[in-house]
Amino acid sequence: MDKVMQAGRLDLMTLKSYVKPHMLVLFAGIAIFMGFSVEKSMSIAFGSMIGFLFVSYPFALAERDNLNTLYASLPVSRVKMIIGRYLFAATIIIIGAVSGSVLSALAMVVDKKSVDLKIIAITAAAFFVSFVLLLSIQFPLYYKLGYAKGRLVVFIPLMLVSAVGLFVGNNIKDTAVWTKVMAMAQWIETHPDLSVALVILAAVLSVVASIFASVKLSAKNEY
Amino acid sequence: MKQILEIHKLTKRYDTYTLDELSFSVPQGYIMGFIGPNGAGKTTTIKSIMKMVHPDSGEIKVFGESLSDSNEYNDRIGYVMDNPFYCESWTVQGVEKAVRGFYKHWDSKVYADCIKRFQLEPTKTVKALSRGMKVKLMLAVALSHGAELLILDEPTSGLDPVAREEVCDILREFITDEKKGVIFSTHITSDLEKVADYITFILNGRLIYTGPRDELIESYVRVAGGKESLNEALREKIIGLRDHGMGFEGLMRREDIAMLSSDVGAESTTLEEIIVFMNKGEKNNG
Repeated sequence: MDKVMQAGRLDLMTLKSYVKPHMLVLFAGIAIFMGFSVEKSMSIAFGSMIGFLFVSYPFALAERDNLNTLYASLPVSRVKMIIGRYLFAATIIIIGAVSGSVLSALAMVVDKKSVDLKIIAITAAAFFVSFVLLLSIQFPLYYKLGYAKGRLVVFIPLMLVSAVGLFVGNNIKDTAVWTKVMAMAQWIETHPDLSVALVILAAVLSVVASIFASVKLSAKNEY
Repeated sequence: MKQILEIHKLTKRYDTYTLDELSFSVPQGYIMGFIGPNGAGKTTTIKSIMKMVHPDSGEIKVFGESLSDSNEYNDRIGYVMDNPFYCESWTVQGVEKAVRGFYKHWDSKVYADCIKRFQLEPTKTVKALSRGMKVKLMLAVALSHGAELLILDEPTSGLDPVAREEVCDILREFITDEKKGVIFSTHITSDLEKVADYITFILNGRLIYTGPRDELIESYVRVAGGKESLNEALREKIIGLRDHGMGFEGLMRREDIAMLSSDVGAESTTLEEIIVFMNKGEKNNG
């Protein structure tokens, strides 16, 4: 476990050297602006998204600065390095979501609106889970193709999912599938705790599956 | 003699060339020079040891154990190459922070001593270091985690003579501990003539020689003579024959010099000449 933590910390150090304080101030400013002008929860969305954008940095810098050689020279297994990267990614997205939540709450206070912590927590958790699901798709592709090739390919599954979602959304109304979807939505509404637990379970399972895929897909990589 | 690194029938096939059943070992307490022209397979061999490429067959043992998935043995290996593999924006201090947690025997005092001795500024970024300083930084990391085996891949290429001499000094000092060993890949053979005890010479992915350095150098002589002295029998014995208007030159096994006529000169050769003539010999033979 210690080596996994070290691997995550190494990624954090890699990122830290490129993220300057003025960037964070800028991001915070944008998040606050969005919180005021658009919708309070947009601060959370923006915070989580910035976190999500940063998680692919170690892949980019590994290619640019020859860090795959560093990883190969360290007394740590490839599997632990990979798990460490997922740990790093989860940490960064959590930091983004929490920062966004704090800014969102701040916007509510300044706007003299009551701070609904439950809504903030649910929104932050929803964005966290969404971005974790996204990285579960992206990371194995980065491990297989590298950052330069992977950054184009990683958006293909996302675009496909969106396109299918859009198509289905527009075409299933008044069908049996639509009735089932609505029933499911109703079930979620009546069982919020269980629904959250199931979503978290799905996120955990997707991360585990993603780690296995990353390990397998990177096994033949040569540097 | 205990071997710190053993390579047995290492094979790696590429479209353009094959590293072909390479076998050699590095004894404890010695520096093994690993030589060959560009593209001979030196880096492929070293990357195979570091598990950065996957051999098609063969076995590699470090410290008497086969390579495993845990990579734990890297705790005892220091890897230095011509280009650094740290984040360019890390400072010299930052490099320590990034890697020390991975090593069981990391000694911050040794690191501090090394950066002082190598005149590395702690707050300077990797990007801002000169080529020689980057090599010294990698050596500082290797020395600070108590590496017993140093694997050096062209660390002195592009360095000025003073910096190269400094690297050689560090290696001499390192090897005073008889439990340690070094494999030093380079095509700057003058460095090896100063520090290497053994030489492994590969050409086009094949092992040409592995053994004591002096034995290799003494096995060959450089021959040169006028055109009229070059007969068919001699032509067959000369490796990397270079024919020119005035005469010829090439490399020859010392055991064959009895066949030379008095007007053909034979003199001691160097590692560099051995590589050059052997490489030419390979090309001549197609």
